[in-house]
Amino acid sequence: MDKSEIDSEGLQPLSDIDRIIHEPARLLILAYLFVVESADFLFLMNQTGLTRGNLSSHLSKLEDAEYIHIKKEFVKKIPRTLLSLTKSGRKAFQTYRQSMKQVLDHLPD
Amino acid sequence: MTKLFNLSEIEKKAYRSTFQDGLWDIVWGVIIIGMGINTVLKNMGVPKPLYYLVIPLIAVLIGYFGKQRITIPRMGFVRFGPKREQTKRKIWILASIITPIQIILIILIKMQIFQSTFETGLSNYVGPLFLVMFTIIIFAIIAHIIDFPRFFLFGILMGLSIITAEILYLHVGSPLDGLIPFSIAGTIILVNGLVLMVRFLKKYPRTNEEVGHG
Repeated sequence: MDKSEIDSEGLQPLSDIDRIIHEPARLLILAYLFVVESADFLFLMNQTGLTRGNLSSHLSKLEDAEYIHIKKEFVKKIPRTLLSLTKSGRKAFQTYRQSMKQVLDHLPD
Repeated sequence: MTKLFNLSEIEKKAYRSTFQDGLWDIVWGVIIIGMGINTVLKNMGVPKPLYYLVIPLIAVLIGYFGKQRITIPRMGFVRFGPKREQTKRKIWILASIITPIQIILIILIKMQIFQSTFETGLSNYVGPLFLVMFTIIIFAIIAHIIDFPRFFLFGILMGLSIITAEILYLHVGSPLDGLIPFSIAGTIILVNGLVLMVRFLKKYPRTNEEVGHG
């Protein structure tokens, strides 16, 4: 299948896919943050099943891309890392979803 | 990939995970057991406000501190979106409708418009049955609103306790008529809650290190 064939089948969005989001672990993190208002590091770690180091490294990448907002706070002297999606993160995730749906819908059975 | 795009499923999974700790069961178990104990305290002449308020207050405190000291440090903290926040408003609206109906119902029973079985014999179940239906329906509505199906079972157990108490009154009198059914129903719910709590503690052990990013 050459490029012209891909374009004609509506797979063009594939080349525009956001590679920051396209990594499965980051996609999962964003999906969770998309459906909640905010969650802390521990909640996300338990829900996604990622290890502490893994989650931390993915969060750094998402923070660098300004997709998530990381807020460190103390609740009754206990440190809490609160995570939420930024506006651009929410928009990027929605765009990614649409693009992927479009691509998957155009794949032959 | 398809599963990953089912965001409502992900949200539901995250939301329902907050019920894994069994705290709701423990709180309602204690409240219902308390209803049984109340009949004993009433017979002992303990002032009404004391037994009507103290046990529910203890249950609520168990729920609050359990969430703060057990659940959140192990499972983490989450704040759900506006859709879930709306449910809280719905519960308040529902409570503001239920409370006057319940008061009217109790007044009607007290005025003997709906007569209780222990005064009129087994043929008249209208009052208690109405109360049972009302309880079950309310619990079912709340279960639906808060998306917590087990809450419906609490309503059924509570309803069964009300009707059993009416029947038992004829045979064992007060306070056993209330103590036995409500204690059994409450204990079933409480034990279930404790089992869930033990499972939760095993699944989410508490870490002493700081759990955070970077």
